[in-house]
Amino acid sequence: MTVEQRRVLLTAGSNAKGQLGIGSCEDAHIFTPCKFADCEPNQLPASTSRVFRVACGANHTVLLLEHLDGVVTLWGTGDGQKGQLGPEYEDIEFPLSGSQSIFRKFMMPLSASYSHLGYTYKLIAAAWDTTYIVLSCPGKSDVLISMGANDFGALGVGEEEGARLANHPSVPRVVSFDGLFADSSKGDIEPLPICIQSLHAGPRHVIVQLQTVAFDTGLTHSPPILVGWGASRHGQLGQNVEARFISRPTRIPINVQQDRMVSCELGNQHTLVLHESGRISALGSNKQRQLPLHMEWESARKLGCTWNGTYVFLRDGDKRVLLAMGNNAQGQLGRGDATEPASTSIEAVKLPAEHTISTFTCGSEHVLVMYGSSEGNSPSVWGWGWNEHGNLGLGTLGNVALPTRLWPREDVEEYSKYPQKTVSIWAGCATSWLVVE
Amino acid sequence: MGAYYDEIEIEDMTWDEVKGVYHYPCPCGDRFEISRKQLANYEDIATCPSCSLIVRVIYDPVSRHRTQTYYL
Repeated sequence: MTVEQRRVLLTAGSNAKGQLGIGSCEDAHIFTPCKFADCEPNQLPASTSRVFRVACGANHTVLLLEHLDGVVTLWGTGDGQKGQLGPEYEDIEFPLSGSQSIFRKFMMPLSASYSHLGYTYKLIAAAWDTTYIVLSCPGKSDVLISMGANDFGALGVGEEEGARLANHPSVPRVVSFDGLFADSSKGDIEPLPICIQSLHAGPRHVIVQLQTVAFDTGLTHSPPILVGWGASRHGQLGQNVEARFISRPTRIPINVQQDRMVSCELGNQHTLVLHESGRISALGSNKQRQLPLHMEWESARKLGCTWNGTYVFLRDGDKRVLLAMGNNAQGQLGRGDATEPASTSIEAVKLPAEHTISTFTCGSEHVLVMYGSSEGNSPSVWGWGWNEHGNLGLGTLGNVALPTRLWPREDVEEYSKYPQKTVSIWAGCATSWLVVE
Repeated sequence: MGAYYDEIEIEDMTWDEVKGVYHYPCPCGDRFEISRKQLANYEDIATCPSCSLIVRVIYDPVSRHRTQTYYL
């Protein structure tokens, strides 16, 4: 018999449209448990084995839960007025009342086309008012579904299609990748199935890494390519044109075929790719000095982007460093001071040396770091940056320029009723998310 | 930029026909807004109804400033 562990998703921050899913539309200034429809109050559904991903838009949140039986389910909360929560919310009046603002399980979008074929959830992402879902099925092409607002071509379905369906916002669409692979234009050969390896969304642009797969010849994959769409006039999609946006998937001029991609992160107007070699490809606006131009760090393992900042995690043996550059007006660079908006220097975040970073995540203008467990200490979460909505869960609203411990906190009595061990972290638009068990 | 969260070119803003405002995403999840009337009066500060951040809107005829853009 499986011993079911109690798992809680805790959140704090901006909540005007119920995007925290805590049963209210008030900001949460301390970490507060998310509620799930038809489940035990204040905890994740009992069968949850893992929170696969939390994706945050402006005022909506979607997440994938993996269950003990291996099934993956999709949940969402917050604003669905633009269709970003799918067709099930079509008849619901927005904004939701406080008590309605809890996570609800979605039917699979376009389930009539895909569910019975055996498609399951693979990836999710969220742009400003738009949601992206990748479905996959063994032996078949992956499917990318977009739903919600089409500002700046966010749906990725082309301008005509976007305009034609503008009056039916909650109809999910399938994004087409036809014609993006060099060999797919040869005569009338059926295009090869596509495998979507990763999906990344900033507020207004999207990047997808994909490759073709040949099943009949024993599962061979083509070299991967990067495609993207959305806002483009700062060069964030690498297109040398002055177009405001690109409304269907277009090749991104970053080569990931020889020097493979290990991390891709999107800010508000910039795009970064970390390659295996440690080289970083950067596209877009450098107004806030957020681009690590011509930089490479052999020991770089992971990138992060706030809207106007860049973070590079270096791991060299036991030495782990988080470099930060870009906007520091609210102390986002974790240097102990909030100085000029655009810092011209690249420096390490002032993290306490006695801990070891296991991962980090960037919100719109704040950052969270998780430390691994070390001698006698369970994992802890630290954070810094913009905190106007109480999104660091400290009970305060002032900006935090120096990394500060957020979890666990023995001094906050309220927190003693939750499990203490953090297993994963995410951050959104002035929101923070911790899974504890 | 000083007190501004950012400086935003009008081309990066979206026009909302219903509310009669240009808007741009605010990192709190709400949006910076400025009306056409304000722009006509040479006002250039777009505010967010949900937080203290403000942006300066760059538009004609005051000036036209281009963000430096980098390509690979």
